[in-house]
Amino acid sequence: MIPTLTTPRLTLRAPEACDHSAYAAFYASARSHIIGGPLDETAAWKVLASDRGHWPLRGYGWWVLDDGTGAIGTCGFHLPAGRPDVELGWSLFSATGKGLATEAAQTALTWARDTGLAAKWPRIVSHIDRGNTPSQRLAARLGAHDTGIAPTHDLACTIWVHGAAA
Amino acid sequence: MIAIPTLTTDRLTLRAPHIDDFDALAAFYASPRASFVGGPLTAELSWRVLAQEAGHWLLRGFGRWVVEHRASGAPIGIVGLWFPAGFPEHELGWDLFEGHEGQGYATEAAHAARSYAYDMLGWTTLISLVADGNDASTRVARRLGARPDGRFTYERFGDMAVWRHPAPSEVAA
Repeated sequence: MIPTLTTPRLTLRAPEACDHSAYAAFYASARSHIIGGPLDETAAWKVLASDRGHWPLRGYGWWVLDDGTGAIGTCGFHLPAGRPDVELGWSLFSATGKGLATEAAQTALTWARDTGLAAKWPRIVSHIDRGNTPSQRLAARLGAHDTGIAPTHDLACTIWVHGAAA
Repeated sequence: MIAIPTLTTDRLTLRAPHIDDFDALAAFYASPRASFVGGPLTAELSWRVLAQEAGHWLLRGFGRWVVEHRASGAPIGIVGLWFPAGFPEHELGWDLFEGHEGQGYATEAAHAARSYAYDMLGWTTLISLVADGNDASTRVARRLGARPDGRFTYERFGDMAVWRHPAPSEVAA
């Protein structure tokens, strides 16, 4: 039910119980502060469970990015109740600076467009912290533009809007 | 993809969590009733909880059911088997939504969930974690035959009482 996508360097696959140690290590690190960390191992496991559980609720969700050695990050679409727009998000646990998040996010966008899901969504957004320059650069590389407007759920971010087609 | 089993009791159906349960779950987590289980939570965080409930089944092969009142079809709580990383043991938990307390529903649903754990999963013991001051939950634990068995510090809810359930042989009746 959760599709597996492949890119030149990555496999995008369902989050599994065996990914817990990678989630826990990332959420224990200072790098996770930008997405709500640091979290202890139980809270990190709950993030893993909610990433996996989004799929049966909505029919889309987050993939684990696997470079052959295990989980190096996550990427995918989510729509918490009460929000107007589907969000494309990405988070690298390790292996930063090699363009892997861009590769994964581009593949996820193509999947949403090819499956027809994107056509059902008014727009695809990414909420990026005002100080998160690497993610801003990534969004720009994907063709998104910064509206400068803060989403109501997180005033530290601005809403980036992805183009209708690639 | 595992199939989430449906359990039926005299008055209740225990079934898989569904997106339509969000409003009832969010109302519970926004209410003072959720103060013993990490609440109150915003709608955003309640959504994460719902996704987490569904994901627990997929990661572990067991989880918590949404409890539906058979006569009305309304979701009245969440009850079942819980084992996130960092937990000391498998837990049997129950959260009853506003307006459905005091009628024995938590006990009835938890009893069915415990029977499922013992009879279908072959487990030999279970604990329940109850926050200090949560007298209603303490009464449910007692009614289920559980006994105090030490303490556990849970990252979000703090220090909680451990209640040990009777073994399968002790609840055979």
